[in-house]
Amino acid sequence: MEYTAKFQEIMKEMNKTVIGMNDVIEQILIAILCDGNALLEGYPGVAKTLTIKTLSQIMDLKYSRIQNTPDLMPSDITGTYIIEETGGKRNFKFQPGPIFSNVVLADEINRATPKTQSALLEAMQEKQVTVGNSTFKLELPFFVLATQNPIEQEGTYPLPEAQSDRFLLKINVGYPELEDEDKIIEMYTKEASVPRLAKILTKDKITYYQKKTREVPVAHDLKNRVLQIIDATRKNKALLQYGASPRASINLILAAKARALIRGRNHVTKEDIDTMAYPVLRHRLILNFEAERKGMTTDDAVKEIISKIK
Amino acid sequence: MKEQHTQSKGFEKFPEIKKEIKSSIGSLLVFDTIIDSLAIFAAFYLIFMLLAISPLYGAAISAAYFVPALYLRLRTNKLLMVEKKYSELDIKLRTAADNVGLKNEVAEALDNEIAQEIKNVELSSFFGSRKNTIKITGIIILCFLIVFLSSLNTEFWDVKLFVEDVIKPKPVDNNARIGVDVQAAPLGTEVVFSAVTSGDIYGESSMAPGNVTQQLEVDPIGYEMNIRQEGDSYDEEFEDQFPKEVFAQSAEAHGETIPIEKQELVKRYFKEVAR
Repeated sequence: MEYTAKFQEIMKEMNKTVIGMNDVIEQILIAILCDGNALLEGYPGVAKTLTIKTLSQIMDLKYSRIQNTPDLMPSDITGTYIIEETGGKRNFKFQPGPIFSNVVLADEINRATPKTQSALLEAMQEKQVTVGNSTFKLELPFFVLATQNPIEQEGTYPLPEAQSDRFLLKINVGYPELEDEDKIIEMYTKEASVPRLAKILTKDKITYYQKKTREVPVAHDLKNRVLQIIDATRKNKALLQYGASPRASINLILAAKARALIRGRNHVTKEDIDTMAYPVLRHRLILNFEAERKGMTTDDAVKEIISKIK
Repeated sequence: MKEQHTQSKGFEKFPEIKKEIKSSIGSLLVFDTIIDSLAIFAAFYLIFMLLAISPLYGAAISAAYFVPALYLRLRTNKLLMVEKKYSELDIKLRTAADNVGLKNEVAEALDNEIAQEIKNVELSSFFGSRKNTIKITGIIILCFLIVFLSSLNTEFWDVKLFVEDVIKPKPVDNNARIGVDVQAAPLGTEVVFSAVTSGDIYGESSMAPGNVTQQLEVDPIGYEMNIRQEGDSYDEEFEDQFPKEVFAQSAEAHGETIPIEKQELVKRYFKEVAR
């Protein structure tokens, strides 16, 4: 199948620089195919930024990086009007910010102030930016791939629920396996040269795959399964304070479709739904005090909910 | 890059595939239900026969099983049955069935995939030959038992009699007296004997005193007739002269007609004789 071959090619190319992160790469690709945004969370030094950077290099897309800091202003992201003098005449000219790209890497997003974070909101959801009285459409495909780390919480601004809900997936980036880490050491301690990456995915191709993703048929009982999972997050008051929104249902179906396509299937399976439930739901659920006291995570809650659904 | 330029066919082949799956597996399910019903019928026929209940009630039980069982079996998701047997078809058939009107490239690819994989599906895999062989063997054994036990006219327990005993208990007739002392009754008194119905075909045990055991033997297969042992028929000669009048003589009521003045004399006479 054409899709499978293409995605395998991407994996192969990615593995030139990123090792042992195939799951993460697959999930980022899922977010791209769903025309969604992804939030990568992991400890510093686990190659979150490198993964996104490499992927953006493989795709023939405009890429920009925003390093978030507490003093970063919204206009630093969206752009601003500057006075330009031409022929002795002064005019206001819009200077686009880094958001005007196809792939935006918002590094350490939780270090930016809520005001700056919210500047990303409109862009992520509406694919447009409003500066002053003017609204600018963003070039498609557009997606924000943000990173944050779970430690060093002092001086950070955790993403508000409304904003985290706009990320299709929250991808947990863990430490590599010892075997993989050995390969990483081998790769990065011997040669100083950076491997050359081929441009595999063009803008048109990504748009085409995004269209194909939505075409993947889903059986009714699997749709019902998604509804049951989402409904259970709202009703399980023993673990959760707040459940997932209808946006989560949409995103879970879409993510399952994209996973099926990446895995070379023309149909969604139960496994696709169950696997994608974790990255789709983990940032949308709020645990109650009792669950937090027990040291549970949202992943534990999702696991428990899935296990109860036949 | 070759993109979708022509109109995709979608699930074009699937409706035919679905129809074939439904009819093939459906007929197997009907056969299965018939076998089960026959087994139930044979088993109940035997049981009822041994309990002296009309064995045709077995047919009613069998029919009572057949109708809902067939309905439920025909309602089962046959596509799911195929998917369970053939893991490579997992969820594909249901996906196609639920999205049969969808027309796009992915649907078309899935349609082709199903058409290819359905060729590997063997109808015999749904037959359950071992299970059905056991069932059919069981039916045959039950049939033999029915025929054999019928010829012996075997009944383990007569439920009808038991039910009659339980439902209709023995009526108690307070007027019925057994062993009335006729001599103790005053002369000229009419003694009336009431019939005592016990419900037992052998009658009241006290009515048959004595120590002689009667050996009664009823030959259960006595209805069989050996023509060779039967002799020739003979003509019975009847009188062709019939009496002119045919009547029954009415029973005379006998009574003592000794005059009162002679009674003392007769009494004495018998006393003398008795000495």
